[in-house]
Amino acid sequence: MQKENLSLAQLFTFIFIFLLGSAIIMGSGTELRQDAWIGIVIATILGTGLMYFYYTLNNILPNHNLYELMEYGFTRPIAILFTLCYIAYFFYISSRLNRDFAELISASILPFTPIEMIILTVMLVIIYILYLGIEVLARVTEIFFPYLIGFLFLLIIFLFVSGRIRFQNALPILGDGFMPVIKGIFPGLLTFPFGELIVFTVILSSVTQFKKAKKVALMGTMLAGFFLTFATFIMLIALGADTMQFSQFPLLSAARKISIANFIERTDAFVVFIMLLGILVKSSLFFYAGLKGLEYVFRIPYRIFTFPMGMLVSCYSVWIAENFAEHLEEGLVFVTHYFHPPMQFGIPGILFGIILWKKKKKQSSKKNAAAG
Amino acid sequence: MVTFSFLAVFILLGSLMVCIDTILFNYSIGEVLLNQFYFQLIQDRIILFLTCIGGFIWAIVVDIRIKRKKGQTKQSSS
Repeated sequence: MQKENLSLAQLFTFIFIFLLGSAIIMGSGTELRQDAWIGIVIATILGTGLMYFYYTLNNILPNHNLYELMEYGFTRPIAILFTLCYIAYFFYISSRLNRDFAELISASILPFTPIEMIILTVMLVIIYILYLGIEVLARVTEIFFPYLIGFLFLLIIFLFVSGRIRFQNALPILGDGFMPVIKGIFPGLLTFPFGELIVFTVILSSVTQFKKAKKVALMGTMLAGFFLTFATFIMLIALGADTMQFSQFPLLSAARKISIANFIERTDAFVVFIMLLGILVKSSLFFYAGLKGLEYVFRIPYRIFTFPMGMLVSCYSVWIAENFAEHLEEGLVFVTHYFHPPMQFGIPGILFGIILWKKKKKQSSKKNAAAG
Repeated sequence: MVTFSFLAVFILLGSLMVCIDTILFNYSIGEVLLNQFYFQLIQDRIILFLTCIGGFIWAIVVDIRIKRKKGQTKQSSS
């Protein structure tokens, strides 16, 4: 199969936008109220550790993606079974992300457009990008990365200038103690968004300077995490804990409060751009990971599966839930507690143990053979 | 193989969706499947079904093209 190459800068922008992507729009840890930013700081540190684990998993056998690692650890028939699970997982998460985006667009700027058309439009763009290759996605990410950072900072500056910031909204800090924060981190904040970095176990093998990728990946994770912390803190002091917790899209709610001299208003477009780019990158990466799984199982280049699977993911983006409330409930209850943990921690953990054991066995048998 | 993979992923995602709805919302399997046909406006359902069918037809066309290419390479090598 054709080898794709990603540079370190592209890896950094991938990780940054991937982590910020939907988390900054949907809000992560908002159930922790005034302690949301504390939870995200701790989750960032743990998430960096998680990224280090995923890199270490890839480092055992460089140039092998997650599926090839599973073949090495489990043998091909069992690897195919797990690969099918991961294909379903990645495509399902991709469809959930498309649904998030479509709901935001429907709620904010295109209320009369059928949600199916919004999802189809985004998916057609993703299909086209991935058909051309992951390098194209990487270049798109590199180009739009400065705009994302710029718009985010602009939003924050506008919030300050329009006088919507009240630091009292951040109080009381740790009013209910530390336990609610710990309960919010496991599994909530750890699985979303940091646990989703599992997708990079499929992509890291394409990075050209793999040895230097460790530093870049960890730096990207930490920076994105702290940026998310900062953005969450700003949303908290701008909206207050109640509005932030019960708002469907906290950043959009905060952006709608901006009014400077009755001239700079309705800055929803910045939020929509941030969400569009974030979802495009995140959904594309999940979709790409699913396609690579199909490539592994059927031994056919992944580009061939792009259009049919894209149409399927578009359909399931609508079919997974009847309305946004049901969609959120599935995400908060089922996906967070029963779907993310085994796919992000369980299977990779077992795989890591088995691969290390196999390598040690090989090394000891080599030593015995050399001694004999 | 592309058609087979399309059907396989369709069934996989469908099973996942049914699992989630039955466990979380206590729907029966029949209710979950019938909801896909009835819960939206007819125009939206038409868009979805056309999308699904379009992807399926594309998968069949791709499979035919792959088979033809394999046949041509076999002929040229022999």
